[in-house]
Amino acid sequence: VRSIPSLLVLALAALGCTGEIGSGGPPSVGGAGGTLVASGGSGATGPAGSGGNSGASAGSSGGSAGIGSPGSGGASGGTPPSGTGGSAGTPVGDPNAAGPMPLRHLTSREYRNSVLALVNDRSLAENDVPSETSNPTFEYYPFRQPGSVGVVEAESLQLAAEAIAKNVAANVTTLLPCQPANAGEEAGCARTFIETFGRKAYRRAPTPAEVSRLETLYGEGRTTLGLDFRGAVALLVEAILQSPAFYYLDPRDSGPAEIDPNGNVVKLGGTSLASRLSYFLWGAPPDDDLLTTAESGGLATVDGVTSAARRLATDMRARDMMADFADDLLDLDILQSRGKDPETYPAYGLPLQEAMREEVRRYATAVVFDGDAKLSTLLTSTSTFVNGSLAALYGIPGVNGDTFGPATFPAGQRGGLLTLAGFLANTGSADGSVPPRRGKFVYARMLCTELPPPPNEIPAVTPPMPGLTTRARFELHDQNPCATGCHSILDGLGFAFENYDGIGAYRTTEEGAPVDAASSYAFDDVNPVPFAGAVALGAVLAAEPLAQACFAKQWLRYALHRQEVSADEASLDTATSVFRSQGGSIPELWVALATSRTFRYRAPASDEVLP
Amino acid sequence: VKSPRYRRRTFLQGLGLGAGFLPLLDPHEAPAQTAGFPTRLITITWTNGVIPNQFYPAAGALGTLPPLLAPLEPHKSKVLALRQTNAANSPIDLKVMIDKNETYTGHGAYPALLTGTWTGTIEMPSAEAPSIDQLIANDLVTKGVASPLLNLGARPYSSSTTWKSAGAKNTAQTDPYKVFNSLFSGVPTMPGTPMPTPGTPTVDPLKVRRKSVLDFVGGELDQFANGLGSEDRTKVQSHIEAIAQLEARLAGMSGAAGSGGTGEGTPVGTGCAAPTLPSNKPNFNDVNNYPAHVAATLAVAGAAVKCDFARCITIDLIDDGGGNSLTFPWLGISNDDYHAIAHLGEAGYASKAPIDVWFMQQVAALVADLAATPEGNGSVLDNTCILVTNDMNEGANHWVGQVPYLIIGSAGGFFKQGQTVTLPRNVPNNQLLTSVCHAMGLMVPSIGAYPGDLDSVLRA
Repeated sequence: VRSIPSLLVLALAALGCTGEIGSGGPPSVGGAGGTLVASGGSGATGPAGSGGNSGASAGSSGGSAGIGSPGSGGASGGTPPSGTGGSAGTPVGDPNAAGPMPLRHLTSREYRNSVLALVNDRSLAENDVPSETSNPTFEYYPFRQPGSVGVVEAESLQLAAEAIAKNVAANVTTLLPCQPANAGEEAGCARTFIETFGRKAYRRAPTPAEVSRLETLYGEGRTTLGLDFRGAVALLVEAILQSPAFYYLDPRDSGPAEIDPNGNVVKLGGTSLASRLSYFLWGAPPDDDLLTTAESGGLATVDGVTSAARRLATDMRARDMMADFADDLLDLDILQSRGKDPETYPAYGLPLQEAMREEVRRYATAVVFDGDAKLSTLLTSTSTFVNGSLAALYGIPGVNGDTFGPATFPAGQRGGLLTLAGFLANTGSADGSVPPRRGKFVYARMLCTELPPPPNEIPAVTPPMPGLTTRARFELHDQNPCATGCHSILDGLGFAFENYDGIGAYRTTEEGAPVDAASSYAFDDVNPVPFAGAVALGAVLAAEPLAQACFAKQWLRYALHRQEVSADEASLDTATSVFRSQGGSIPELWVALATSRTFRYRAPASDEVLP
Repeated sequence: VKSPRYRRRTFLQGLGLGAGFLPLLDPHEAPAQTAGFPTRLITITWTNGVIPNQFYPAAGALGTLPPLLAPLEPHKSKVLALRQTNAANSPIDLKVMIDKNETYTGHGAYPALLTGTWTGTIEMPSAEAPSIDQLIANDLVTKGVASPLLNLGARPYSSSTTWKSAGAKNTAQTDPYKVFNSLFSGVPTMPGTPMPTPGTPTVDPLKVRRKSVLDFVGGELDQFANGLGSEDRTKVQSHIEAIAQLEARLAGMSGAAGSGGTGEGTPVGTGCAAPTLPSNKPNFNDVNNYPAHVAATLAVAGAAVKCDFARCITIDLIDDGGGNSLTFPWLGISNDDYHAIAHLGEAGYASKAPIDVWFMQQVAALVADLAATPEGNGSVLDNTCILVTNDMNEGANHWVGQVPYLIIGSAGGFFKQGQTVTLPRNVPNNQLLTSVCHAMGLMVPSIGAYPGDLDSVLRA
C-alpha cells in the first residue's frame, strides 16, 4: 500500500536538496576592471539555458585533494564519480595522464569578449548570444557549461552576427589592413583582410581552403548580393562570427599530432594552447603577442607557458576574469530573480541587487590585484567597495549616491567573501535566513563535498513565531531523526551566518531573542572545529586543507572548463601543493594550473582521427 | 561512409528544400482530423503539484468545474479531464520514475512528463528518449512541414520537458520578443490583412543574404565535423541540423500562412496576425513582470499556431525545482515563495490555491485566444490539443504517482470533450502520450518503456 505523506517539508525547500531553481538572467553590472564586456544582461528575459548543469558531481569526502574516479567524460558526463580521497601532498594519480578536452563553444561572456577584441564592439548583451545560466541549487560544479547548438542558438548567433556586421559596415575602414585605391585592388585587399582578420577570429592562421571559401563568399557578396566592397567585407565578418572555427574552441591542430606514449596523450599545439590559456585567464581570445608566441613555438615548453601565463595574469583582462569567477562561484547571475518580500525588505530592489553583485566583483578583484592575492585574504578581508545603497545596508556612514568607493566593514560585523551581501541575499529566503542553504553552499562550493540524497519524508520546520529565532526553529527540526542526515551536516556550517538576515543586513537579535552564530564543524568528520560566526568561519576555511584543496579544484574546473576526471588527479595534486607552498597565492595557482600536464596535454577523444 | 555534407543535404531534402517551394501546410493524414487542417499540440507545464481535492471533476459530463479548473469554465465543452474510477485523483503515474524507486522526487520529474522515460538523479534528471513534441515534429518534417517545433519557457530551468534525444534537452526560448522577431516580422498585425501571395517572386535582400551566409556556415560545419570524436561530432551535427532548419525556415517563408486549408469554411491562417506585445520590453528577470512574461509567451504561442508557424509547442511556465524562485506579489503573496508554500501542504493551500488558479487563468487565456479564431467550421482550438500537466501530484508530497494531466481541445475531433473520463489507477503516462501521438497523426505503438495507448477510452 502506498502511503502519501501529508505533511512534508519546508526544510527540503530550504535545503535545496531537491534542486531548487532560480531564474532570470543576471542584472546588468559593469565589470570591475572595465576592460571587457559587462557581465550582466540587458534586462532581457532569462537565458535560454542552453547547457544546464550536466557535470558530474565529484566526491571527495576524505582526502584533501581527492578526485573522483572517471565520470563518463568531463563536462558532458552525467555519472557521479565516486570519491577516492587522495592524501595531501602525495600525488596518487598518473603524472603522465591528462584529461579530455571536449569540444565546446564560446560562452556568452567569451563570445562578447571575442567580438570586442575583433571589432571593438560591445553592443551585444548577455542574452543576445547563447548564454548559460547557473543552476541555483549551489550545485557542485559552479561554472558555465555551454550546451549544444540547436535552432534557438543558431538563430541567436545569426542575429548577433548580423547586428555586429551592420555596425562594422558603417566603420569598415578601421578594420581593413589595406585601402584599395581602385576597384582593381579590392579583391586583393579582401584577401588580405580574410587572412589577417581570419587569423584573429580563428585564433590561428586560416587554412588555404578556408581562405578560398571566404573569397567565394566575398565574390557572392559582390555579385549575387550586389554589395559594394565595404558591404562585402561586413558580410565576411557576419559569416566568420558564425563559423565553427570562431565559435568553437577546437582542441585539434593542423598536425601532425604530437602524441606522448607516456599516458597516451596529445600535446596541444601552440595556437590551441594559446586559446585555452587566454580564455582561462582572460575569458577572451589571445592577443597578437600571445598568438605570435604560440605560432613561433614559444608555448612548447613549461617555461614558455609560465612566462605567457604570468603576463596574462597581470593584464587588466585577468581582473575581469577574477570577477567573473567570483560571480560564478556565488551564482550571482540568479540573484536578481530571488523574490524578496517587500514588506520585510523594503530596501531590496534592482539597484541594491546590482550593487551587491558589483561589490563581489570589486572585492574579489581587489584582493587579487590590489592586495596580497591570497585565499586567506579573500576569505577574511574587511576592505570592500560600496555605494550609497549598500552602505546603508551595511551601516557604513557617509556614503551616498551610486558611485562605488572603498570602505571598511563596521568592526567585527563582516570579513571575507562569504559575508558580502550578494552571497547572503542569494542564499536567503524571501523573508529570512535559511541556515542549511548557506551551509550547503559552504559544503558544496568551499569544501567540494557531496550530500547524501534527502529522505523522502521530512517533517516541516516550525514556522516563525515571537521568541523563536531562525536557529531555534531549525534546531528543533534537526532533532528529528529523519532530518538529521542533511541538517547535522549543513546547519553546523549555516548557523555561522545567522548574524545576517535574508538580504545580508547585520543583526544581533531576531524575533526578540538574541542571535547565536557560534557553531562548529568537523572537517575531518571527527574533531569539531569551533567558530564564533561567519567572520571566524572565513579564517577557519582559509586554514583548512579541505577548503584549500577545494579552492584549487574549483580553479582546475574553471581552467579546463569541465568537471575533473581521474586523469587530472596528479595535475591537481601538484597545483594544490604549489598553491599551498606559495602561501595560498591565487595567481600562483593559475600558473600552476596553466603549466600542468592536464592543461597542456589532452586525452584523445574516442573515435577521433588525429591529424 | 557518408560525409557530413552529404548528410546535411539529405536532411535538407528531408525538409522538402530540394524541391523548391516548400509546402508548409502539407495536409497529412491523421485519424479523425478535420479534413485539410493541421492538428497542433501545445503542452503547458508548471511545477509544485495541484491540490487534488480541488482539481479533479466528477466522472461523466462536466458540471461546474472544481475551484482550480474554474478559469476553464467558459470552455469546459472543450475539456477532457482524467481521474481515477474510485478516487478524486489522477489515474496517471510516472511509472518510469517509480520503477527506479524515485517515488517522492517530483522536482526531478520534468524529463518524464513528455518522454515516458527517466534517468539520472533528482538534481540532474534526464530523459532516455525524445519527448513526444520532438517525435511528432520529426514525423511532420518527413511530411514536408518545415519547422513544426517551438519550445518556449518563462522561467529558467534546471530541467526541461522537451528532449531532442536521449540525454539532450531542447532549449526553450525564454524571450518572446525573439520569437516574435523570428516568426512574425513581415506578418500583418491585424487579422484579415492580406498575406503576401505565396510563390510571388519578391527579392528580399535580407533573405538572399541569409541564404548565402547560412550556406557558408553549413559548409564550414561540415568540414569542421571531419575527424572529430563521436561525442564532439554529435555536437557539431546538432549545429548542422540547426543551420538546415534555419535554411528551411528561410525557404518556407515565401509560402507561409494564408495559402492552405482545403476544407470547407474558413481556411488556415485567416486569423493569422502578429501577437501584440508591450512596446517596451519588460525586464523579465523582475518577479513583478512574470505575468507579462507569461502573457507574452502565450500570445506568441497562440499566434504561432494560428499562423501555422508551428505545430508542436512546449511551454514550461516555470521549473521551480526548489527554493526561492518565485513570489506572487500581484496576488498579494510575497513573503513566501511558491516552492515553500507548496511544501507546506495543506497548511499552505490557502496561498497555493490562488496561485494554481492564476496558472490556470493563463491557460484559459490561450484557450480563449484559439477558440475565438475560426478555422473551417470550428476554431483553431478544435484542431489543437493543449496538454496541461505538472511535475508532481501535490506540492508537499512530491509524489510522481497520480500526476495530473488535462487535455483541452480535441485535436481535430480525436479526443472526447466536455467530460471526465475515469480510469483505473496506476496507468503509466506512456499510454497517454501514445494516444496524444495518435491524435497528432503519429501512429506509434508505444512511447517509452510501456506499450499500449488509451485510445479506446479517450477517443471521441
